[in-house]
Amino acid sequence: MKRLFIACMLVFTMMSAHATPEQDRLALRDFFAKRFPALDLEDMINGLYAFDEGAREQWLEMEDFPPYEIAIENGETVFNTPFANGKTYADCFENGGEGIKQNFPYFDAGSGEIITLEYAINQCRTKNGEAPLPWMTGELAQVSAYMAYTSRGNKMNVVIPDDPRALAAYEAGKQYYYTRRGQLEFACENCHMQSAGNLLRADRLSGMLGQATHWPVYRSKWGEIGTLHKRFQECNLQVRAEPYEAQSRQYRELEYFLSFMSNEMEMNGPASRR
Amino acid sequence: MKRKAIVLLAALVTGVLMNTPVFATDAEQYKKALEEVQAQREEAARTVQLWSTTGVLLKSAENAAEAGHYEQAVELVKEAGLHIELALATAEREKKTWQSNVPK
Repeated sequence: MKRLFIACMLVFTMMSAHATPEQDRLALRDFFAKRFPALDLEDMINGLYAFDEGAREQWLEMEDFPPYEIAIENGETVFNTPFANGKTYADCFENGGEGIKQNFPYFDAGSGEIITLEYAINQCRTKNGEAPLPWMTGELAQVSAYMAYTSRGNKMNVVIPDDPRALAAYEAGKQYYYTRRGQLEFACENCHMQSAGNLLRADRLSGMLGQATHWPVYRSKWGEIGTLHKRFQECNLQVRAEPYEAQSRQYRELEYFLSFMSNEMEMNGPASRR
Repeated sequence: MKRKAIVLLAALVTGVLMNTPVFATDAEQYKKALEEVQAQREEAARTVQLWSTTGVLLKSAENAAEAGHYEQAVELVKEAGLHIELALATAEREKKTWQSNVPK
């Protein structure tokens, strides 16, 4: 009887210590609902523009002739141009690659890896005898922008299958998000949860919820469209941490966690930001 | 005669003092310190994300060494080593504390 009691206590302790990903997601929504009671949480897919009415007006005006439009057009052209072997990107993806970005990143049971959309695009190229593209800007980001555009309006649907390796990848991404790093000792959470909506110099900090729905992004300071991992690198440098390589295991795990937190939110990529 | 001896002695002492730092920190010492810190950096980078300042300090050390300022170069290398230790210390502390900020 005593042993049974101890076993029950152990199971209870383990369950309470490790929340499930879905419990994490609901707790995060609850956090922002309490922090910003007047805010429609679904509007957080628009980043800082959910908090700043003046900046939002400027951004909406810019959306009449969005700076990422050329990237979408170029991406579509590249996407439909056959490889040397006659195949195209469409042959590598389900539904011909249209309207599928909401399912990325996913856990690939065969390799045990997290596959982001950009990772899959380059996998498609190498599988068809083409050289991989640079990860952060240029053609790869343009193809990703086109695929994101065809997925607009869909709901983020990142799945964590019943596989301990998938859960471990999610947990690693979660730990990364909440861990302080760099000389300034900042965690992602310090800016995008504790200080979300606050001014940092002239801009407001975006909130974590909806942060993964709108990539790739045309940033005015970059002067071109870039991927989420380019932004991860920039964030790391801003807190004086040595960035990882784009599409490194650490960044893919971070994207897996971050995207799961935006599940059920509307896909709205590509987007423009200051 | 006495005055000449004093001047000679002063010149000797000055010469010794001026030469001492050159022997105290030379290219070999810089190279040794750099190798140690580079090994430390490689080892640490396997487990933690280092500070971006580490690479900046090592680059400054390289520039100082190229200009022949070995003493300064060694100081910069030592500072880079300290930044590696601090990054490791933060990571170790964070292993125990990161969960406290996760919404429950």
